Amino acid sequence: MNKRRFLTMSIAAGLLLPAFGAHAQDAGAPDKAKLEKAFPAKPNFSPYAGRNFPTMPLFGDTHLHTGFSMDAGAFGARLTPRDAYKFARGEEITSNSGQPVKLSRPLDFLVVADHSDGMGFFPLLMSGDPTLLATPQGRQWYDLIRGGKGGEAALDIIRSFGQQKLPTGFPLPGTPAYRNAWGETIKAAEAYNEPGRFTAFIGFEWTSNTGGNNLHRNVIFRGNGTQAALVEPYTTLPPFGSDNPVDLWKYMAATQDKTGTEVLAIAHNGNMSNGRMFPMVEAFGKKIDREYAQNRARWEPLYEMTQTKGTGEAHPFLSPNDEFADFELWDKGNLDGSVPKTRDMLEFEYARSALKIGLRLEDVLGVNPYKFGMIGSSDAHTGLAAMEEDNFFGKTAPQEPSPERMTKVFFADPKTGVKVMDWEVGASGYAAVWATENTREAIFDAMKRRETYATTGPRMAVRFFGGWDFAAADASNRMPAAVGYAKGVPMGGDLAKAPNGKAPTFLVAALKDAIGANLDRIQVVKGWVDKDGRTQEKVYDVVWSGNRKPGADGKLPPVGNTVDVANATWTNTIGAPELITVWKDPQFDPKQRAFYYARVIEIPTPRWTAYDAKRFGVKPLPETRMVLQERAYTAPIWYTP
Amino acid sequence: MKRRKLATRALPTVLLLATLLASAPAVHACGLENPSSVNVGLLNLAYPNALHVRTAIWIAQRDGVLAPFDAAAMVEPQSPDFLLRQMSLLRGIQGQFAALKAGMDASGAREVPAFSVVLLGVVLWTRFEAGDTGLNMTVHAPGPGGDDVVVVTDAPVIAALADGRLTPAEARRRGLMRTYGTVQGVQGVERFLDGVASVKSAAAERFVATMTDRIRTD
Repeated sequence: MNKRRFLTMSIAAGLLLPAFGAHAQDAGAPDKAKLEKAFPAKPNFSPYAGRNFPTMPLFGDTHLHTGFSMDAGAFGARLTPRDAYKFARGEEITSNSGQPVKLSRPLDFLVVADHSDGMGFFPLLMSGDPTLLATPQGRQWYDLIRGGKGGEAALDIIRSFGQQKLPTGFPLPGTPAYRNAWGETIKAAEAYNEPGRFTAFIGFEWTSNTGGNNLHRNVIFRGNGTQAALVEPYTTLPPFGSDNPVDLWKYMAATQDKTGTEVLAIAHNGNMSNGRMFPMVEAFGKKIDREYAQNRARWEPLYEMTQTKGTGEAHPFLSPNDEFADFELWDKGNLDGSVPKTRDMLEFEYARSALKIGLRLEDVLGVNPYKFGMIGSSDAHTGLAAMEEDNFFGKTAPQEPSPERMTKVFFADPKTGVKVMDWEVGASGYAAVWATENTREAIFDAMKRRETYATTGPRMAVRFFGGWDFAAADASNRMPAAVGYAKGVPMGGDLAKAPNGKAPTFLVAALKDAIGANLDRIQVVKGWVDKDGRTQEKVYDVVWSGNRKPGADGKLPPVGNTVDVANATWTNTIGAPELITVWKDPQFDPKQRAFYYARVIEIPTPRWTAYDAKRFGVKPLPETRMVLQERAYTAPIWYTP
Repeated sequence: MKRRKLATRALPTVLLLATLLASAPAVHACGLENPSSVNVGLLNLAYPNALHVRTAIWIAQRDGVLAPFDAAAMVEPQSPDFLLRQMSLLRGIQGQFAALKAGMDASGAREVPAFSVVLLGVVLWTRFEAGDTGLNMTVHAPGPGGDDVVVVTDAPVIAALADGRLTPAEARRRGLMRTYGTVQGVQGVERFLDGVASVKSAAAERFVATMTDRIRTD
């Protein structure tokens, strides 16, 4: 027998023998458990087949206004919801100021969230609506605006609205004009919603602003146009609406009952609420109780913590040891500038602080009202979700690119001294959502489970998992999500009751924006309630680029700066294209509530002002920020004893 | 105070808008007193795409068609010398319009429909109406007349037209000037303005020189 034939026969015998043996030992029915043990399940050859978890982040904007919003219209926005969806999905359009504009790459989803109060008013008026113009008031406003006295008209509109002396034809809830504006909003979303490619959500902004204090929420529908058309948006002015979030939640509950679909609300700009966004004791004259906490947690799973009117993650006054807390802040006053900011307000305005307050309230009420994930969005009033630093089309139509926006005042109140310059408007941000597919339902569900993160503009991919058994070797896995979902919970999730002797471990990974800047570092921000019932926080640098070593103070040296401000450019010669690590909490106490979220910092890059200075040849004002370190913030993972 | 409270409670969606207006008197004769974004913004609705003119202007400034943008000329309303600077600007604009008017009168203005020119940057209206002895011009008018043709442009364009560096036809071609009204009215005004451009008179040049000297000595 030659060697080859022997080998063949040996293999055949090897294959046959176990079968004969099994037959000989078991004359009855096969035992399923034994069979499974005998032939253990093996993964597919393709590691990508059969995955049941989200595999790529979807980027979008949940907060965009068009000319249908009263203030956007007053600022000259002519773009409609249809224009907004077209632009977001990657088409080139003409901006309100006549400039061709296109995103560097399409967004995956968009919510047109026009203000519910007075929706569609200015387009209606200026179209010469016969019902409105038949009234002396409507005719007067029309003539004033045509005469260049839009400001005067706007003041009269405000007065008339306050006194509820509005002309026939004004779009109030229940009127044909209002239903028409809402109907157009819905139709636009339906027309541009393309499951699998681009998601056009139906939504609106509820704009509570009593006393000039911003308590705004964007309301998003999971369902379709037929369902959304069964209701009208909730407004703030009695008798149709209310400025109290509690009433908004009641509306949301009723809406779900009536439409058969789900809704959620996303608050934003706590920084302009003057201490009212995240109340700890009372709101609207009523004590914060368990019911408030339950409703807030139920209806508001996300918080928009970065946008054009500032980034609201942390404040240097609240977090003096966090060298990255001073980032694109708007901390001068409330929304209308009528009341300047005081330090005692800050604790109830910023996301990190709110997360800490939430832990304390959970101790008392048994429910955490501020258990939210992070997202960013634009709040642009232009119909353009154009939040790229080199492609920034401003917050309002007059702020679309021109040499003037480098030096112009955005708004000022000489009585209070609150003043904001155009250059202080931020080119931020976007919402990143780990959804299983690009559909309304999948994205909405991901938002509900808080599997989201905020970016200030760049589209870096960020993973964040928490569990008890992540090991250093997991950071070497080229498929961190596979190990992340297998051994832990993703961002937005919960860890409970630490196994004996174990501390939570976190697998965190970030991949740079494909056309963006390298990464400086990833940090984990921890907040907790100590044994005395006080909230604490700490920021850990967990992985970083290069060979930097933390100093004696524990601080990592800066990554460096390659920005050429004069030419508005930079190089990726510093930083890292990807960062990944496993981190274990070194100060864990299993008896203390805690949250953990990741913050990913890019290397320095030119701010939009640097691009403007270069392109328009305009000298910036001395205080103008020209460089920034863009970033992403993940939803937290909470630990509950 | 009461009014403010009422306003902020009443119409939160226009809060930002109210903020812009809060610091100024309730009634504004024109943008020279309150060059707010709202006045300009609403012009974009009243005269569709009026804001396109602003973009055309910075492109023309970039391309050397118009004098370069002068950031130093921008003065914020809260600045102590704001009114002084605005008055100086107004005098300059008056001089330029007067020069244009001299050219218009020389070209025969009896048949032109009444028209109003609005300058975007300061929302300043100047009204022209045919009279017995030529055009009657009102700089800093309260607004356009009821049936006026409206010409939207801005100060750098008027300056270039006044000194003959630009013709109205070229200004329109570049989007530096847009005309609104009935088809007949728009054609009438544009035809008239085009005629003016071809007769940049010695009188106009003298007028410009005179006004320039006067502004310098003010």
